[in-house]
Amino acid sequence: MSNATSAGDYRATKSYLHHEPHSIRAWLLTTDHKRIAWLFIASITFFFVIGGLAATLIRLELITPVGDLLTAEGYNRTFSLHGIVMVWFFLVPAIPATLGNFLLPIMIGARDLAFPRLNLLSWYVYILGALFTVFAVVAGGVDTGWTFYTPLSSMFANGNVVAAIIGVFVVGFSSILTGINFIATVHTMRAPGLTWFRLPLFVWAIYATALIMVLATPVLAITLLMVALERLFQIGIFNPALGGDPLLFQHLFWFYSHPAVYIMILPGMGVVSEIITCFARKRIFGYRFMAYSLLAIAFIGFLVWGHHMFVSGQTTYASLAFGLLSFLVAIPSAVKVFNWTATLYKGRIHFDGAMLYALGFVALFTIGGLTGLFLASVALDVQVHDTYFVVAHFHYIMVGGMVMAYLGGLHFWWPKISGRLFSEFWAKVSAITIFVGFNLTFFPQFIMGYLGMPRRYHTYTPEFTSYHVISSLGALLLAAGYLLPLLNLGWSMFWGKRSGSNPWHATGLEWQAHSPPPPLNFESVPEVTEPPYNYDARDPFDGSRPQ
Amino acid sequence: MRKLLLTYAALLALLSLTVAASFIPLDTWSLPVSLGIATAKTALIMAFFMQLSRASTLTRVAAAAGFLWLAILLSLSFSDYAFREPENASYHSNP
Amino acid sequence: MKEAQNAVRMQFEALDQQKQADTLGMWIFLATEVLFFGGMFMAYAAYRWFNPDVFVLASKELNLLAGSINTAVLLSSSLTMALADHFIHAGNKTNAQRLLTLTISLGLVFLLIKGYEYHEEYSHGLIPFINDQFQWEHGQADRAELFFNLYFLMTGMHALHLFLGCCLLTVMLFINRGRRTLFRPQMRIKLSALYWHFVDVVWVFLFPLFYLAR
Repeated sequence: MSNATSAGDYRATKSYLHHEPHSIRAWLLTTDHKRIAWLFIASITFFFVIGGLAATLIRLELITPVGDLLTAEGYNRTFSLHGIVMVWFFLVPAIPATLGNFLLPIMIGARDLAFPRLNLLSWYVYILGALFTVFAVVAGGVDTGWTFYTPLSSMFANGNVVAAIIGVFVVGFSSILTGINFIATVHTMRAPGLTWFRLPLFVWAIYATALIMVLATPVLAITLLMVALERLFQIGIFNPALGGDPLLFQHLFWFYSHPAVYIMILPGMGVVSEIITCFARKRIFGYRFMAYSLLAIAFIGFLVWGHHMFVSGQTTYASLAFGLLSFLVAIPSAVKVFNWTATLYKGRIHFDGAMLYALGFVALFTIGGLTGLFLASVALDVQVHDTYFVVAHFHYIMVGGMVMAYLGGLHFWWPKISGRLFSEFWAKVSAITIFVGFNLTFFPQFIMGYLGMPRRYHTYTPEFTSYHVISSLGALLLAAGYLLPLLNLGWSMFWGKRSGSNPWHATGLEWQAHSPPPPLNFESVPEVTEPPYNYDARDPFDGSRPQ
Repeated sequence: MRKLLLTYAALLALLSLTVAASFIPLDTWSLPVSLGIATAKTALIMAFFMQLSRASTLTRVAAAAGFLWLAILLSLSFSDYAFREPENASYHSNP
Repeated sequence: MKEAQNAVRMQFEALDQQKQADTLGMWIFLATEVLFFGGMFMAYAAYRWFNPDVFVLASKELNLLAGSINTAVLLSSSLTMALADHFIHAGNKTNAQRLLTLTISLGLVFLLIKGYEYHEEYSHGLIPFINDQFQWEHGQADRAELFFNLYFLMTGMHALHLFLGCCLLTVMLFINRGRRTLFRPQMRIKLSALYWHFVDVVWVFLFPLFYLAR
């Protein structure tokens, strides 16, 4: 590994997918960021399916007002499984560890991340921790929800709480390692001429995400460790019987977990910025504002965690401060939505599959973001706290926003990742199905939450039946929508048409590399001479799209 | 090398100072004084042992970031704790 | 010059770039460590805020002499570590290796003294989660328990980090032994030193908070 590679070695004829060796062992011991991205794609898809199955159970149970499918305990365990798996093992690593891992080095013209072996370690840490937790949760059952609130988790809950916590603790280190790797890479490995303000917004987004991962995750780690020690050895830290403060747990937990929401959404914003500017054939509107607002969201995201604790017994003064600070996040978020819209204005818009996903993201993120403002105002939050209003709000951000962006990005860069083209028709069908199915599932939840339907109950009064039935039917459509990309992209992997290196005629270094790229990405170190998204300066695109 | 030895001497001096100060009844000033001395020691260690005094701006920012974010955690949490009513300060009445 | 080229890993263009990335990566890691310990410091801050008097009383139960000696030991180990770093960069590997050994020994001395203290506290019945009966006669025993829980958690976590530091340096000692080149040992020792000093910094705060609460 110590040999400096001579120029001749870059000219690898085979892509990273076909490059020798490609035994299973070689894939499991690879340090190539592109192969590691694949390891993550496969793993998060697996966990998405598990979390999705739990969600299906939840929605099935809620079709009727009585608890006929699951017991109360079983329901608690199911939504805990759903939350734990989806948040920790799908949403947090989703875009950074897959698309980020694959694209970051290519987008900055590097051969790999700064620490390739650390990158592989990060996958092993992730997969071992996650499998361990899922085993613990399925085998023993955990009914604390994904938040592990004390003193429930530390003193009262039954089941494998400690095992689940240890697993999440371990997976946290995967985040930290990925974050360190990304930050060091962006700072030290940009190609000649690639100044900070020539970076694609996706790189900015991943960079901002990495900052949060690095600065927030350690606090989660120590917090969970303290809960585990309290439960295992009675080393009381949060225990009210000793004069400990359970709210301390919430402060520490949300110091990570609110910024973690931005770990989930910032990469999505990066993806969408790339897609919209490409398919509007127009330079992104207000590039610098877009970059600054990503950093601003990452920073302000650390100042708002108390809005999760308005009804927990936090003092009113703290609630006021946190409420006010929470409103501030709306400013950079709105800047982004306005700038995406302004990018579309007078653009030559092409409604490709990836673009439909991106537009869906903007719509759903806007709804999710605006309802977030409701929840940031103390008076209104007291009314809707722990109701389905909250459930709908964060699903609009995390599922409507983040998953839409992930799938959009996966479609957009699929030709780069696989070297193949998928069916545009089915991509569009899936984007529309998911958009409709998602709204059917979660919009009714805003209404019933506002009317007072509390979250985490497996029975309810009959007046909510119609909302729950619509929601469950929508979930069915949503599930079908999620299946389509899996089939479409999976099919294209083997039978799709070869894509060529730049099927969307997009700017950006990643489109200069071969599709799929060779192991070291570029034949020679690329040099950057123009600003990002220089679509205006190029030949007007004639509109005919490769199908 | 001379710089390293001087730093070490300063550190030991600060250690003696902080131990000595703990025997003086400073009352409410005791905590700020001992934390101030600890901060001074940290500054010495980071500047000379960890060579931040001749590091790039980027490295210094990275070194400062952890402390800065810890300050955010402490200060915003105390926007809650500082205003708790004594009787509600915790959930357990004294024995 | 050839030696320098060989030290450049595949993904980098130049040795300087690689040094920058390695150093930055280590500093970011240390920032995560600050926040890892930060969660516990937060807990300490909250509970001392609520129970200032009990914390002072409990603090007086700790062995101030042992704590002070330990602080001096750790500061000395930081000096020997910094000197090792200094010598390896000056090309004097023999001295560097000797100083590394000394650093490890000082680290072990610290752990020994810490272990002695733990034992003493155990025999005084001050370990709430091990002693059958928590010995406390100054009132508000529950809050005192909170102090000792934090004390054992935080100093224990620090001791664990120090132990890992000793292991790390031992590995360095052995892998640097046979090599004729200097580039990689220099970088390794530089990064290990950063970690070692960080562990020292943590103690610099633990010492006044636990031993000197007045």
